[in-house]
Amino acid sequence: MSLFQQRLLAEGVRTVEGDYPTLDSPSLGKAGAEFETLLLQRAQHLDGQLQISGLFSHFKALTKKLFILLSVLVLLLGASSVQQLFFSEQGTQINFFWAFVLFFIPNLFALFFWLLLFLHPRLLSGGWLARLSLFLLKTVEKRLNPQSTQHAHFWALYRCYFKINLSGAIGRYQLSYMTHLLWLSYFCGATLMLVIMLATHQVDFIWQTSILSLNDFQGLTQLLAYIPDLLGLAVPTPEQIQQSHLGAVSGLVDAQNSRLVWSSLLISSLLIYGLLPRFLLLLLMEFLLTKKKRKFSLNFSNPYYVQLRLQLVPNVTSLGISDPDSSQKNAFAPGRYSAIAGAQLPSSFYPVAIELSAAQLIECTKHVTQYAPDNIKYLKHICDFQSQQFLLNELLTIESQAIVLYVSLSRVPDRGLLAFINSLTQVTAQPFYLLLMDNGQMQAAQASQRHSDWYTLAAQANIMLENVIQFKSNQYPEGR
Amino acid sequence: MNKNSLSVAVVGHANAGKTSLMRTLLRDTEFGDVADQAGTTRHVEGSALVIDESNSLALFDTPGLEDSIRLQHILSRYFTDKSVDGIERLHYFLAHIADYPEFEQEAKVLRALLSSDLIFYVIDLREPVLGKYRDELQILSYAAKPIIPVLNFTAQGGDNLAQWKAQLARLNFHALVSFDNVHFNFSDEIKIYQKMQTLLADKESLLQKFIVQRQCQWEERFHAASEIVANLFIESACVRFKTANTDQEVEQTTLKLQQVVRKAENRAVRQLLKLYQFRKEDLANSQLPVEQDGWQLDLFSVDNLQEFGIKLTSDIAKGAGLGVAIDLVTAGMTLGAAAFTGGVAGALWGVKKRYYEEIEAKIKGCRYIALNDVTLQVLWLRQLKLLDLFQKRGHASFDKIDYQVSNSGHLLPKNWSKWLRQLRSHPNWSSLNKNMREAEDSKRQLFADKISSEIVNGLTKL
Repeated sequence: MSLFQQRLLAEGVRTVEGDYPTLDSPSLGKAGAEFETLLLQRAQHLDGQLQISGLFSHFKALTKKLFILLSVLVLLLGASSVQQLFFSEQGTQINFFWAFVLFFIPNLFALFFWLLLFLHPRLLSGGWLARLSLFLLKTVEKRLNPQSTQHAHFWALYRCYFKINLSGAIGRYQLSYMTHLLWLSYFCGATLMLVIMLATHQVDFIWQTSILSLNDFQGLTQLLAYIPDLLGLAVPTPEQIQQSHLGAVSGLVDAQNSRLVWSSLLISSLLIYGLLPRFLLLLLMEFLLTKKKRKFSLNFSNPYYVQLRLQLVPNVTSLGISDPDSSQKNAFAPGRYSAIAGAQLPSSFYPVAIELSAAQLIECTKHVTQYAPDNIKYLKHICDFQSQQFLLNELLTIESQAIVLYVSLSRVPDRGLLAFINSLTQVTAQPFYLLLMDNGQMQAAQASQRHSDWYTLAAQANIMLENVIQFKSNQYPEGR
Repeated sequence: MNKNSLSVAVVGHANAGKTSLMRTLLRDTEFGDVADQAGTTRHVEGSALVIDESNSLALFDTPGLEDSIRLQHILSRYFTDKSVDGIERLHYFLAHIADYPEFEQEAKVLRALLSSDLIFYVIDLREPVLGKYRDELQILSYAAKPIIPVLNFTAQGGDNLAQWKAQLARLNFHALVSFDNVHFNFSDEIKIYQKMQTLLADKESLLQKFIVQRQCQWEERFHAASEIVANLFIESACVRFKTANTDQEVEQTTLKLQQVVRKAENRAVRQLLKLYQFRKEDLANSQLPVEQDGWQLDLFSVDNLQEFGIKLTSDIAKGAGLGVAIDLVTAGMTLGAAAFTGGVAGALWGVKKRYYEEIEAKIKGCRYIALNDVTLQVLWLRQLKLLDLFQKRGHASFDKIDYQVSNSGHLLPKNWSKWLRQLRSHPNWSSLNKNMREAEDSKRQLFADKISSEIVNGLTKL
């Protein structure tokens, strides 16, 4: 399978899958492989399941058959047009230049028209010719091959195949190839028939005019005969050209010679100016088509391929767990607690602020001033090891009824905090209160979660849950 | 890991957003466990961002440092009789970890620190600078590895920024980066890698390659997404359903149109979700408010006439070509006359091809139902909003994506009206219609590319 066919197959798979890759990618030899290599491997693997390449081969054969059919028809058309135009009556005369014009002017027009379309790529591959070809192929397929449409994705793949082969650069060359093939067939048919008819019929070649002079025709004929003459083919001499003028009298021997050279000129002109250029263009188009097919690439910026790349060449690989959790011991494991109605603050308490922001500390100070003004002098902000140690030592000496710990509700209680509060509750038998400072800016779900976390901490640090008190204040900003 | 690879330990206090950072950098909504509480991650888990077949950037998520105050105290008590570097303290601690079972999580972090090339220290900017964070930074500095402080939750914690910057500067951490996991900004991610380049001079070229690769992947995804939106817009603007001109028929056809367009939008949204690797559950339920409108073709509109003029010219050319073909069949006998007739026939064919359905509908008393301008504007703005949200969403975000738009303050592209007129002249471009022509796909693709570029340019400027 050529690279073009493999890429075509990948497009076929894309057509079947739709917007994004839905089929499982088989395990492919991934080590260092490029995305396209993997993509083509995947397509080939999925082909077994989707039967796409068989269908594409069928489309290729269909195209080939249609080309052959059209070529044969055009060949017959070329042959019949020669027969009808020049040999409809016995012993007729052929107006050489009229014959030449009838053959070459349409060809010249068609060639010019093709060139015009060829130089404007989208006109040829995206227009009526492509649609006509599609229509013909579809009609043939529907009428002659009803079984093949049983494939679940037949028409989708049909569109995919011919969209690639009849559009874009490939379509441009494919349709050009077809055009030249048909004209070549036409000229082949015409030349063959002309040779046969000239071999079996006797015709006289004449030329006639109402407005042109003898010199004009002589010049034109010599111009036309220039290349055949160079190739050593028999061409009319100036005398023979003069003698072929309508009404000119010539001897029997001269007439035979004249017929021979004019026939030679007509056949060689047909070959050199009609058949040969089309044949060369056909070869050129075939060469360009092959080249274009080799260069045909998939559009990897398409969303489908962007996603497939992530699947086939993932830019992330898991390294797994390298240092697993072997023990749940000492973990701060929050449970689920709902906020309960807290007890009242005691009339006198020892205030401790733990890990508060500057704004929260101001609020805390205000609160202590309001509820335990006598103890404001004892307020400590605990936020490092030294202050922790200082507090632990001081708790041994204080005589307050209770100890109130001011904490921020929004702060996530952690194992370090739990260990510290645990050490506080162990150092003294005084009751502890946990005052949760809430600025009311947390979302309900988050506040509920945080309440639960603090209740868990209280439970683990031997603080009675009734002693967990809410303190709502809107004074300090969001932060923690 | 390969010796050419880079390994980075992502560390920080509990609930600072380490796993969220991992998810965002890996574009993986499933990596690790994310919860709004301490101790969610309890092991070291790694994933590698592939640079090429032999190089990668390995990221290791670690448990939170929850008790740095006591840990620092323990570390500071070692070697009181002699002067040693911090790294010796860490090694000594790890050698005697059996004496500190309560520091099992911290030990995992320290092991990850020592085995990595670089450290990302994730800071929850909503937090004030507390003693425990200072101790964490002190411990990290013992590892003797380059550290990049990553400031998370920058949107909510802006007030603490100056305080944190000052504190980090005191400890000689100057290469800090703002990186909000929720309000994601790709340029911030690139800044992280650029800081890594600065700190790891010997890996500069490798990191440069990685940066280029990440940017390519980002742009590729953005372009692919804009292509999805452009295609949806074309599909929806070109769709039209023929119906008999009775109230009942119009109502039924309108319903059908609404269903078809909503389905197309859902399909596009699914594609975008897949492309951006977000979960279906991330989306807030949002349905396109489709309005119906009987769109009438204005034969005399400038655009239509222009379009008609262009088509006419090219059809004359094609018709003339056909004339030549006729001449060929009759061997040139009718040359000239056939070419002229072909030209006229080509022009008439062009008229028929483009307006036959409209004229036929008019004669039969039918009409076409298409989306009105307002609905298309809503569709356009919703998709643009969604795309913008996806571009700025981290993979750790749990907020619902709501792409409903209000009717004010939105700017439409300057070519909006022209686009609509052009699109409505091509009903065959919408696969939602039955008569879409595959062969005209190239023209449609060109138009889609134009819209896609407009989307990319528009959103990039935002």
